[in-house]
Amino acid sequence: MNPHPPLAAERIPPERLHQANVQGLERAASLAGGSLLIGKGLRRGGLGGGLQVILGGLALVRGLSGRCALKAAMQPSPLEQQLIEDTHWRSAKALARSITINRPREELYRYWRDFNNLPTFMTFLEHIEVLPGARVRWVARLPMGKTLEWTTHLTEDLPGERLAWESEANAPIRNLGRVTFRDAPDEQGTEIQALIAYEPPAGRVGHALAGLLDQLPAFKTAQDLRRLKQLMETGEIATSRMTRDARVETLQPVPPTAEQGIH
Amino acid sequence: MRALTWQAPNRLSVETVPDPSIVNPKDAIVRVVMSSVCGSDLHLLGGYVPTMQPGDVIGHEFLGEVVETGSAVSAFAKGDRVIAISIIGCGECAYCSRNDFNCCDNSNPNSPQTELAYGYTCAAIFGYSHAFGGYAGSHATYVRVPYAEVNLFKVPEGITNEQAVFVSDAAPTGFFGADQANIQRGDTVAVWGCGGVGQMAVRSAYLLGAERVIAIDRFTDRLELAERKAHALPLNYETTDVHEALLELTGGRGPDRCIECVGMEAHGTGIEYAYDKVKQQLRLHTERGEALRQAIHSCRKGGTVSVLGVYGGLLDKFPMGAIVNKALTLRAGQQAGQRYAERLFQYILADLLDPSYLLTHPMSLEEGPEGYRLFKHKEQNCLRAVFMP
Repeated sequence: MNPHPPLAAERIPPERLHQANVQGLERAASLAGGSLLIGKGLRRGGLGGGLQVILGGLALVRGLSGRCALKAAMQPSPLEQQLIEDTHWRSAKALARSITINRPREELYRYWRDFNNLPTFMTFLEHIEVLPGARVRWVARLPMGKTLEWTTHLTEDLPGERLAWESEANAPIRNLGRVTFRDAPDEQGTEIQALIAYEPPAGRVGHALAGLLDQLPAFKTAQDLRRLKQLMETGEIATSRMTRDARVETLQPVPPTAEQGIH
Repeated sequence: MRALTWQAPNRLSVETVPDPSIVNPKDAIVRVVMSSVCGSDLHLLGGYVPTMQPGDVIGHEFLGEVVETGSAVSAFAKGDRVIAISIIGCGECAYCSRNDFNCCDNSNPNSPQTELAYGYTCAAIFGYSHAFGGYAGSHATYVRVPYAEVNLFKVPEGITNEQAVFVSDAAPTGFFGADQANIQRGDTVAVWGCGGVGQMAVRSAYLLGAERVIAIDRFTDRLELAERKAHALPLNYETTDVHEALLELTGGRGPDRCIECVGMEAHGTGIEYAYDKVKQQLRLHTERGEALRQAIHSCRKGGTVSVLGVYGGLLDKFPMGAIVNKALTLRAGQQAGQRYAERLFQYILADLLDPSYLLTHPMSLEEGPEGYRLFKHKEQNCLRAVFMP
């Protein structure tokens, strides 16, 4: 594996920034279709006609410049490209987030390594079952009370440093996870880098769709890590609830351990 | 229990809401004895702070009595007379570990809003919108205090409730502003705004070695208090050109340290104020920056501008040129009162500080909406209304 994987924040490889990405028939179709729409829009007039003119104009610019920002944004990022090469998936969507937790690396690794702990801070999980042979069965919550299940096996386990898992062949959506634990500078604890990737259903179109859907999970991933941080640092998950039973939540506050005393 | 709730911009009502209980092991439940209004509540009231929801209990400066503690709280017991610091720290994250409780990483359960608006999740504040945690505030019979051992402080014998309640917010905020201003012995300090926080900033500047403190406001009663109680030299900006006056008073150098205790709803007299007001009402920007601009403009070269006023979003016409070309240091923040509470109690015991004069209007909780009305319009020389549930 590349010792310096691309940053998840890198959206477009530099060489693709000014590259034409609309060519041949597609470019000709943009030019012809754009001109046709402008013509029709002008003849029709009114609001609908105006919209046709605008749409036609955009298609015409796409055809003339040979560049389409939308298409560029739909292509995999450098990190996703690397994941595709690693996994031989058709395409890949990656969510990555880092957080610094003021606890020792080994302690955080140990907590994560016991996958039973994950539903405590990952709200999308309904249930985790640890199976023999470092396999894990995941049950994720879907909207309308549905669930999605899959099984993973560990692909990497470097105590105190790194954990990686990948779904088994029969998973409904192929996916993987990688977590690295690194000492933060200046005794600030541990930097955790979490990466979750999956193969979006139905190739390119699925990838674009997943891109839209991702906006929410990216925040959810961040919040999951925040809850882990709250739990590991303070022994409890922050909440503004006024009473214990005000709202049904799966998050159960855990009593702090002896070493998590107050400074 | 009864609680003063926000219902809509400029509409408050006292409602009956469920009593809070211990939710997490480090919680404490405090029966509120005194709960003060604060200038920053006026931004919530005016609808300038988003993510308020009808029914939210406001109030963040309070004194009370511990009635219940969670399983992980051993430093407090039922009956303890306490104040809570209004900005909530967890005590365990890297920020809290280095006493920057105002930057706490864990206290805010609603992380996305401030992460989107400011880049990172900000510490939670009692009764101060859902972006800042959604915790119920203190204008109520009871309040749930998270991380009790970090945020609660026992009030020592010999200090009255009227003195102690302001160690919750106004006094540590003023002290934090003066501390951040990096005051050197012999410095002249100018303080914009003579509300509760401004009054405390004046006194704190002296405690930290200022030679002379100049206080700026337009309300004569507040200027008089700043002069009589905190020994400030008063300047009324409605009758006096502030910049000219500051030059006159400092041999043409300007104040060494400027502390801005006004914030996003600043008033002024000139064309800039009119511009700010119109633009804010059209929702083209969120802040009125008259006081802050004046502080930056008047601060001496190489001086420090310490900002305590609340700002929520984007300020227009920010004088970056003055900051760069005069080599100014700009400091800002919500207070980290956990750092100062014990020290402020010592000052009070030694008669070096007495915040009790801020309390001009003791009222019942049921009179809450009226208290805010008096406070907002500065009627009857109201400096602080304090509710006693």
